[in-house]
Amino acid sequence: MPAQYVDVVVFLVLAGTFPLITLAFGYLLRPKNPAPLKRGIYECGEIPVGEARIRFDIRYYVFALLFVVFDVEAVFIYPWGVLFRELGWYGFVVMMLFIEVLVVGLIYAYRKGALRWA
Amino acid sequence: MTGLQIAFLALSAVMLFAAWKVVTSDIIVHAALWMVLSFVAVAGIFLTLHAEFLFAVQLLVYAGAITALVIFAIMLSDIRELRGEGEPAGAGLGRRVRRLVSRRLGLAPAAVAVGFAAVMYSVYRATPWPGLPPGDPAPSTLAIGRELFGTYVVPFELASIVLLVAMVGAIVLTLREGGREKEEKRP
Repeated sequence: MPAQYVDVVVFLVLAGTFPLITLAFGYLLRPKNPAPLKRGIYECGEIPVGEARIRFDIRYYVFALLFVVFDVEAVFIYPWGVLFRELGWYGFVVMMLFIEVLVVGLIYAYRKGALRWA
Repeated sequence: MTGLQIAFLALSAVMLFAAWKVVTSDIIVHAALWMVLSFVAVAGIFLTLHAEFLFAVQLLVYAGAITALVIFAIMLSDIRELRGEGEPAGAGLGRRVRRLVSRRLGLAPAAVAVGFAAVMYSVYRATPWPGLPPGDPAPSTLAIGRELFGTYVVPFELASIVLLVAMVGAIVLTLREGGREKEEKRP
């Protein structure tokens, strides 16, 4: 095992057990009084209408796809960040060209109103 | 057994269990979330193989982007009943027979799984594996970055064009001209 990841494993174990312990304490201590109204779907003070699983508007999909694009961009930025000092200005220019093309897309999305919600 | 082997076995167990739950979950959103867990376990296996870059890609692209698209596809679909076929009803022989021919839990998926495992095993046996590299290998992200910004800098820049095309295509396909198409009634 790469030694530096031992810390990560310890962190993961702690991060996993802490909420479990908290939830277990809550489960043991809290009063249990399930009523139909209490178990109902929360809808901001209203009596819920219909079921929780509704069909989402297709317009959300633009945000999902934009997220995917910038997610993939982040994948490319990661090795650049690791090599930042070594590459110097050359790497900076190359990466700015890369990002600039995507900013064109972002401006296009903005001008098209894809990011506006109306 | 070294810590590396323990980590590999634990991650493999998590991955296999999650993959099993993906196939057998009755609620499709749960299946998608189990899929995330199996992706994360695969990312951990990449980490044990010193493939830090693949780890990041696995987390960002698979656990992030692919999962987001899958969840969105589920949320956007108009299927009211999003459950699988579940356990066949009834009892005795008829139930057992129905279970065997079930598309999800029956013989056909088992045969496909066994066939796939056989193919993977034969590939595994036929491939001449290089010996283990001596000592601690150099961080892979550095090597990948050097290649990406050296030899492959032009394809790297072209990748941004591909992403731009994907972005524009997504907007053109989902946004009608004017953007204010008639409000669809939410069910």
